[in-house]
Amino acid sequence: MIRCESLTKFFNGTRALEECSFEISGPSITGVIGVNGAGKTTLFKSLAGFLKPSGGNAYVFDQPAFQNIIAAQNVILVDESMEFYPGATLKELIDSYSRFYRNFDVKLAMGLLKYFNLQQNAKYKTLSKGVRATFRLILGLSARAPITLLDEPADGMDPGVRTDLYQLILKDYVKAPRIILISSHYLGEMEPILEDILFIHEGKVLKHDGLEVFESLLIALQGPPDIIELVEKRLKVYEGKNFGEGLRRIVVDKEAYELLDLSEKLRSRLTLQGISPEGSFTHLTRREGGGINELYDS
Amino acid sequence: MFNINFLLIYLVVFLLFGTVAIVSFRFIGSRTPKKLSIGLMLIYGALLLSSPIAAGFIVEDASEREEPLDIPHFYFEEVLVDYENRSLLDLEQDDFLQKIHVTEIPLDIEDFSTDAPLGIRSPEYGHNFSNPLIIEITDTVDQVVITQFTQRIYIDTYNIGHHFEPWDWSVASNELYSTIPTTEINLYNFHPPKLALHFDRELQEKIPSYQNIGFIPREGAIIWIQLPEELEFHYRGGGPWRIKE
Amino acid sequence: MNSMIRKESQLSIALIQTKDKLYHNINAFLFLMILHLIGYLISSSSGMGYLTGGDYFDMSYRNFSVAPLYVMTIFWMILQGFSFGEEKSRQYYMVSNNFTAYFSDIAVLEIYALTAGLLTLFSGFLIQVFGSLFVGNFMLHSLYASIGISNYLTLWFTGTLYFLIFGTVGYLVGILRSRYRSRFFLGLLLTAVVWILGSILVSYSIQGPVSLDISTVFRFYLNESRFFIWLAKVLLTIAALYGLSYLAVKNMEVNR
Repeated sequence: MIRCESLTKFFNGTRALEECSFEISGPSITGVIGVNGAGKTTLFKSLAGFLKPSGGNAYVFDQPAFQNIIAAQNVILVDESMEFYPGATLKELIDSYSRFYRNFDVKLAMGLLKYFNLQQNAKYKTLSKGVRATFRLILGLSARAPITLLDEPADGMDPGVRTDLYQLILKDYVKAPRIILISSHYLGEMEPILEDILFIHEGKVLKHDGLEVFESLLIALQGPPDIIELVEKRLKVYEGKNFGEGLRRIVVDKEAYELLDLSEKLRSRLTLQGISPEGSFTHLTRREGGGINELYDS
Repeated sequence: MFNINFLLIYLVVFLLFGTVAIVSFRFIGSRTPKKLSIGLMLIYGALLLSSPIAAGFIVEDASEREEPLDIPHFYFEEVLVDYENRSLLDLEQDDFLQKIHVTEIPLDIEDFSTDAPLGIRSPEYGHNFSNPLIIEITDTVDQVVITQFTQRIYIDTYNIGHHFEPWDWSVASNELYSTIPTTEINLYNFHPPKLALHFDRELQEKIPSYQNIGFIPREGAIIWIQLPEELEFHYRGGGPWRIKE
Repeated sequence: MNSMIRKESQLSIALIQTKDKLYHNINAFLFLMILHLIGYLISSSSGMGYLTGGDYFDMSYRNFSVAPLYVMTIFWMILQGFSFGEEKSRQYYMVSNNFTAYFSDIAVLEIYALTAGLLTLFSGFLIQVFGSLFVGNFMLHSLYASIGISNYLTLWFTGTLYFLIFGTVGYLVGILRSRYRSRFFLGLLLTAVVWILGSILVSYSIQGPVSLDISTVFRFYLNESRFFIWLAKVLLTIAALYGLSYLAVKNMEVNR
């Protein structure tokens, strides 16, 4: 259904995506995770057919997505830069979208308007930032497009609404299974509803796998400093901390640790702890070089 | 030789005008309820669609329309110069002239004598133009009869002579004199749009762009004064004197 | 999920877009009405007239003219075209691509031009009615006796096509501005320079004065009294503008 083959995109010499390759072939809820500027929005716009690839390609139903009308009628992109007719009411926008997206569930949309206390005769431009985000989500889900792209859907929403948001996405997915991609840099919030994660960093796809894989991507090793030092010399360390004398904790790649040539005796003296997907994401995207303390202490 | 191109000026005007218009356009576009727009449009549309029918029922006063004659600009001067060969009837039957008004002033002829004649003064009505009076002494009248003519003047096929204010004649202190009221005419003409005649060059050239009467209409006046034979009078006006006996 | 997949043709999508744009932009006609109102108000003193006077004679002769309504309508068409050309992004969040967006924009502009042509055609009658009712000494020029249905059809047809040309020019400018942003004004400046230099070159080569200003362009169409030659000029102009607009919008990205 969706496929990217070495998708690359430059904007005025700045690389936004580089050699991105992944495939999603069936209904799923995939979280697209990355820091600000990682390339999530560029990826979504490329899949929606808005952007022309600088290299490689993005395919929707095996057809290049850019300016493809088949892709356009089966993909809906919901993001903050969505524009609507200035004087249009929410009801009018729902009616418009229902004409374009043949699967659009008007009853659901009107029900959601009522649920979130949105007045159907209100004009979009008069809504607050959070309420606009809610309305965009209502449109996006009600459209029931086979490929639904939600770019930072929770941005600006109240905490109470954010809880509803992910429940709503899950319920609608169960009702109408399809490909849903949700981008965010708050993995923890949406983790409960995700099946897969697509991890993007600095324009590249670092990993695309099931949630359970990310749950065991990194581990925290805790133990005597001398043994920890042995591991540190041979593996990439994402974080290192000393806990008083005689105890040091590091975060390393789990697979790499399992493949490490270390005796069982030494391994038995170390404590392993799993790192949550969000924790893994934080470590994997942390900037190289000195931390914030070094900046202030130097 | 190169003619200066005003493209940049057009662009600047367009951009300035366009910016203001776009702002107001967006205001109207975003704030007006659609139902109100549709309602107003229906009213406007109904007005427009019914206007040809309404226009057909509005009767235009055709009495002031005439087929314009090709009249020499200063025909009235030819008549004034040739006055001795003309009669009042000639002028009344002259298609190039239009009778404006006839004023009759009853007089007791015995009130006037050689020592105290009726003074006739030509009107002061302009500068450096000859007076338009022709005085005829005749036995066909027993009072002073003043017939005012003007050369026919057309705006398109509209004869504006119907709007001329006649001169106001009266006798006081043995003087026959006139006051000339100001004639005010406001005409509004509506011609077909040029686009309707896009492919008819001949008709298109008839659309008025500027029309010049050519002379001040007052100068087209001819005043024929008939005096009874027995009346003693003395003409005091400026020349040339035109007195027919 | 496969049952959810839709495969409608570009044409059907373009038709849906056309209807949608007409609906959401319905207030554009209100704007046209307001402009027409201004046009009616200034139509009474817009034509050539003259005032003469002497010591005893005061005459004013004014032509009512529909020209202000045409100017206002042209301005409206340019604005609508520019607006459609500039606001491409909004359309793509509904089902769209460059071709369907272009097709529906042009379709709407054509509908606008047809409507505007019809409204301006009848505006002349409305002026006649108001003039006869509320203005003293209002008269129709004798030329009205010489014009018939064919002239009114000519008026509507020529007006519609001229409006369409202006609307498409606005559309092209809007697309160029939307696509090229900061480079747009540079492009305008370059166009002006090329135009002026071209005029100079042509006038040197033919050794005669050459006026390549806007009025020359207008006269190229307005002074053409041969119907088929005129039609060829106008249709070729419209085709060229359509082609340039399509080239400008082709492969345009949506990135705001």
